[in-house]
Amino acid sequence: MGTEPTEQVSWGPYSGDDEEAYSAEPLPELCYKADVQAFSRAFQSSISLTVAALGLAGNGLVLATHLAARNAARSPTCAHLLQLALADLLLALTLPFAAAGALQGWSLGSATCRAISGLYSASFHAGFLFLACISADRYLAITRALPAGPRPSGPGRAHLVSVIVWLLSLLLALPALLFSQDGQREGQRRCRLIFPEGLAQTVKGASAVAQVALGFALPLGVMAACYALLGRTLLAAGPERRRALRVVVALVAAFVVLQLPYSLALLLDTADLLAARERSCPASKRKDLALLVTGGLALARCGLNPVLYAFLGLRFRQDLRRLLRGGSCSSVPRPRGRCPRRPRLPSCSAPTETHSASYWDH
Amino acid sequence: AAALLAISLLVLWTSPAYGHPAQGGANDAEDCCLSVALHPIPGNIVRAFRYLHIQDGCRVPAVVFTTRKGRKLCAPPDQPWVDRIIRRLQKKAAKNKRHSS
Repeated sequence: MGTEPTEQVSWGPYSGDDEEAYSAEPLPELCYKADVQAFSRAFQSSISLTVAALGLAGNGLVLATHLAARNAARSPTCAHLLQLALADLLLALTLPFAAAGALQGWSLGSATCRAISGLYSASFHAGFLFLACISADRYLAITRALPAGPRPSGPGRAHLVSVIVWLLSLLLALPALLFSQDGQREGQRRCRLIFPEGLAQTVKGASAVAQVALGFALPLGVMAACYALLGRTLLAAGPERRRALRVVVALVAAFVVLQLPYSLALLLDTADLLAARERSCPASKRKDLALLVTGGLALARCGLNPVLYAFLGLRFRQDLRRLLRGGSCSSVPRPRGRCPRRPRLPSCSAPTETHSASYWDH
Repeated sequence: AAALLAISLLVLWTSPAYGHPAQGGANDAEDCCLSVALHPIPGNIVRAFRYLHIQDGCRVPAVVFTTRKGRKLCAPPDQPWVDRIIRRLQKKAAKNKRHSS
């Protein structure tokens, strides 16, 4: 590498305080981030393990309840909530690997690194996209429950949409699947995404735009439009829909607080990359911290999805109680005052459909 | 919207080139050069060098020169003046080795 720092004796015109004398502008120096790295190790591992525990328990319970009630995919919302739980469960499965890798380096080889990174990326994107699907389903469900609403579509379309979402997520996960590798740096092996050198900047830029458009703008646009329309419809429908409206507001607030900061931080970072913008070392560290913390919040959303999207639903809670009591439904007041031989209502009915699900579920 | 989707898919297929570090899991803040020197650094203030590649998780590939005062300066890896300094350091290192052995 280099020579030993044997000579401290100054010689020649450039020595001591004169190192910078020949240059008008300050010379760019290596940006040390030891403090950020220390924080990152502690933060990422604790967040990953917490969300993994929450996500495995919550989403496992959601899937178990759906399967026990044997009414999966009766409605579009139902199918998509199930897929959301599946995506979040898969994501939660990858998190212990990430935590271990952050703490003591990656020791599982390149193939596992690619598989885990790909699964992480695909399930993260799938979760975001299914949230958009659910918002669309809820809007459609509400409009169909109104007297003048259109006819409901069958579960076939929901399955088709699910397949498309998973394909799209795999597509968005391709970089992670193809280019993740465990590289050595400063004595520690780490699993991360490294792009091959020598790719044209325009190609990278175009691809980055595609990532932002499909992985961010598309689901965000769908969600914003659907919940805005839903809110307007609920407001117009009168006071008995207030509870449903409150739930919508809670969902949107949770999304805005948890997911949006990370998406925006990513967007800004992508803009930096595309514009080849230089930042000072402190600014770069602040950006890293922002990505870390907002990324932790976005992960927390995956752990909280079961609470926000399933447990708030009345019928889900009833089905869950029945599951925990071993199949009896005696003490649970059914919405229509009877105990069905076969569960007829989907356990995943969204809270916004409390009063309207039976209109379109048959 | 469908056209945009089609174009985006096409771009993604032809160039699976970009992704954020955070997408693949860990977002590690590596020690990196954020920019490189535009003007030549005089070779006689440099006592060591090393490369920082894209493979090291850095966006800006660079040669890091350690100065006699211990500062780490960032230089572009593709400039002739950088190559000259590196060659000189390698020659000196080889000479030192011969001396000590």
